[in-house]
Amino acid sequence: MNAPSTHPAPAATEKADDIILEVRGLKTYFPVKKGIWRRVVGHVKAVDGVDLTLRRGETLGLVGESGCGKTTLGRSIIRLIEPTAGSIHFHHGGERIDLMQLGRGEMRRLRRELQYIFQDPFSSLNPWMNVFDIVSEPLVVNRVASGSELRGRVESLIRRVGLKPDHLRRYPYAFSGGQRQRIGIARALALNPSLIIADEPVSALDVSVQAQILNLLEELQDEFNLTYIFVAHDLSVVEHISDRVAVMYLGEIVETAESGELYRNPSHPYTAALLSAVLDPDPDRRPERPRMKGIVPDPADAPPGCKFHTRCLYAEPHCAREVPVLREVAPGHESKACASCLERMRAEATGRAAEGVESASDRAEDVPHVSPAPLAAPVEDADNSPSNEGKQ
Amino acid sequence: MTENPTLVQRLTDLGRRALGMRRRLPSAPPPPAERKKYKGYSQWRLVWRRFLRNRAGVAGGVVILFIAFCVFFAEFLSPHHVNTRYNEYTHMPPQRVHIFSADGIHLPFVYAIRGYVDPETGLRKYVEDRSTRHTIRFFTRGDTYSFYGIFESDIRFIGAGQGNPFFLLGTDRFGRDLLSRILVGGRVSFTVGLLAVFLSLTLGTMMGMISGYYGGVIDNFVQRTIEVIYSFPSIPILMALSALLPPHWPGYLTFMGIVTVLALVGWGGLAREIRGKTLAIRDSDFVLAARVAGAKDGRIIFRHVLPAMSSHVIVITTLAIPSFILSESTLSFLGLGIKPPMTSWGLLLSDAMNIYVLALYPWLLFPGLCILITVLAFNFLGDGIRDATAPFGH
Ligand SMILES: Nc1ncnc2c1ncn2[C@@H]1O[C@H](COP(=O)(O)OP(=O)(O)O)[C@@H](O)[C@H]1O
Ligand code: SF4
Ligand SMILES: [Mg+2]
Repeated sequence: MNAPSTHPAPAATEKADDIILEVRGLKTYFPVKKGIWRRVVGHVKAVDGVDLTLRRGETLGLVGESGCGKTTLGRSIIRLIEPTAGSIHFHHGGERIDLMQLGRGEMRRLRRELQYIFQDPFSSLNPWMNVFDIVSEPLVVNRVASGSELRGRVESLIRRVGLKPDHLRRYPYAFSGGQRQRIGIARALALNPSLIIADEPVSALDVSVQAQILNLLEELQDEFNLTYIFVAHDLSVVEHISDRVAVMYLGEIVETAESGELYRNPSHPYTAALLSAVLDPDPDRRPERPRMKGIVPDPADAPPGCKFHTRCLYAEPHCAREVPVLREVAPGHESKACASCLERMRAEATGRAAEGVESASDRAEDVPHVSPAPLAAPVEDADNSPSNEGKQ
Repeated sequence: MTENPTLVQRLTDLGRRALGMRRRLPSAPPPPAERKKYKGYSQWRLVWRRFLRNRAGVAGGVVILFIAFCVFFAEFLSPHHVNTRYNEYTHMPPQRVHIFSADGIHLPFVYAIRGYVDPETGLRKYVEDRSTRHTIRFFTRGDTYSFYGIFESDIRFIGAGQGNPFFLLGTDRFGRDLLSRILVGGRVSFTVGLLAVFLSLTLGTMMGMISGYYGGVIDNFVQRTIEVIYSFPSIPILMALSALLPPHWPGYLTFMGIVTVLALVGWGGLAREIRGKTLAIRDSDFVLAARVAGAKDGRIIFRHVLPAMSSHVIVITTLAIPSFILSESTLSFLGLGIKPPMTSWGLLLSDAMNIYVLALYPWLLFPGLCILITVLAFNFLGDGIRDATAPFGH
């Protein structure tokens, strides 16, 4: 895949028209019920009008703080959670299918193409089933294979994700987090899907294991021609693996851009704040980038106007009234920031550039360093690694 | 059954303290070493291994197995027929077993008993007649009994010769052997508990799972129904329902009637627990994963929800049995449950209803002791299973 600082490969641009998924105006509201009569007193607008377009073979990174609706969006796209409104068009076999119009049975059949990797490698594997039953379940329920063919396919899947066939009769508790996530990946891969939504697949893992799982996902993408929506709360993980990044805040996409562009030229105060949080482990140097105040507001009671105005350092009175729209700030780069805040961000960026050559070069170097440190350490928790097994 | 669990819990804690056992907290997930050692084991085997390490739980299980064995072979194990009256031995205290006599050591024996009326108090008193020894014999002939209608026999496990007084736990006011009555009555109490739990579990599991899995209107309906049942205090409603059973019904019908009444009043608690667990499992990641895999509701319920719930079901069942046993005892004690000639622990205990009787014939409290031990044993067992399943139940 793309090295952190390069532009997306030309191939991706050529295939620009080869759309696989179009999400338009997607909303998922959860009713908030109160009192003994369980009356609906409001809604958590977990996903509130999201537009996304995915090209075949690309990786879209989806970033935002915890609670901003990433999981809900990912699950709504494959209707694991029923969306409230909007359309989801999936291009499959030359057809453009609106997932929202499908019945339960049709949706179930189409799920073969749309798979999901869970954030929590512990709760997502049924503790009462052994690995063979877990990985073979998609093949069994879709009647894809049975008997020795099933066995063979499951074995090759489990090998492909870096485990061994004799792990198959073990139960999930016997594996480490990284190994469990590999099992989850094998399960998602079983039906040979075209789109995989990976919901923070590495956030529950040790730093040293994260890189291995990310590399595995990248290899699999090339090998099986997969399209990914890769969710993370941390920009550093996403940058490494994504072609494009969408930044999410309180149920809305506030900025999308090619990943290099986003890091070089963040055009929404929220993106800039997220970046400042990951860029620099040294607190003395961090304040040079804009930050934000406070914490994510209750999504059941989202602020009016620009939803970010309660935390934005550039907020002005009009921000609380006017709802900004997603506008193109550069080719392929859209942001929901209003004109005035864009201006102030630019001014600050130039101001900083003028401050001195030294600090400017510091910042320029920051960008490549974004890629997570863990990439260096390709050892999976030694106590449980497959290669260690013969020794006991 | 709302008020029983607290009582039962209090008894259990008391028992634990008496035995010097502290409640074990559910332990953390298995350490890596253990993960490695047992990695090919299924959940059930892991749970079993953990359970074996819980002394109180194992003790409870052993006691229950013992009681189950005793009540299953009640007639064989009891020295006399439950309803044989020894008119000359009414309200006789527990008899002593000897091995020494004036002329040396013997096999275990009992002396013959002579009864007389105390001229001062007018009460019957008993003295050992040291001139006659009755040796205790095993696999000996006694009253004839029918083993569940399969065969008839007069071979009993223990006895001191047919017609001889041999009352290890004393007799009641009709001179019936209390030990024999406890054994046979125990079978009734025990099976009432088991059957009632089975019935209410079937009902509760079905309602709870449907309620939890589908939610919405169905859920609301089931929950409100349970609330209505629970808005009445359980003992009065049990009494009212069992008072509806026709008094002329034969014993086995009354028995089934009591079981039904207990189950009808008791299924709600189980249903609620099952519903809660179903809700949690329904929204768990591994069920979502099955949905992503393309599994239908039926498969999800039977392959994912039910197995994940099984350990929980076993625990709540084990913990529910004692409250059913207590409820049956309460009803029978109050004369609204099992009717003579059938008997049960609760009914036996009703003989010891007043303080006058209690002071004179304290051995009539033995059935109460049996209830206590059974209830405690079930609770120890249930807690043991719960602790054993906790760390692996994700
Ligand atoms: N089933 C649900 N019912 C009610 N609120 C929910 C539900 N699932 C998520 N939410 C709320 O929606 C918001 C977004 O949650 P989520 O999508 O999990 O965020 P993220 O994955 O970005 O951390 C949160 O405020 C969460 O509390
Ligand atoms: S519109 Fe206003 S509140 Fe929103 S990001 Fe821009 S400056 Fe901040
Ligand atoms: Mg999430």
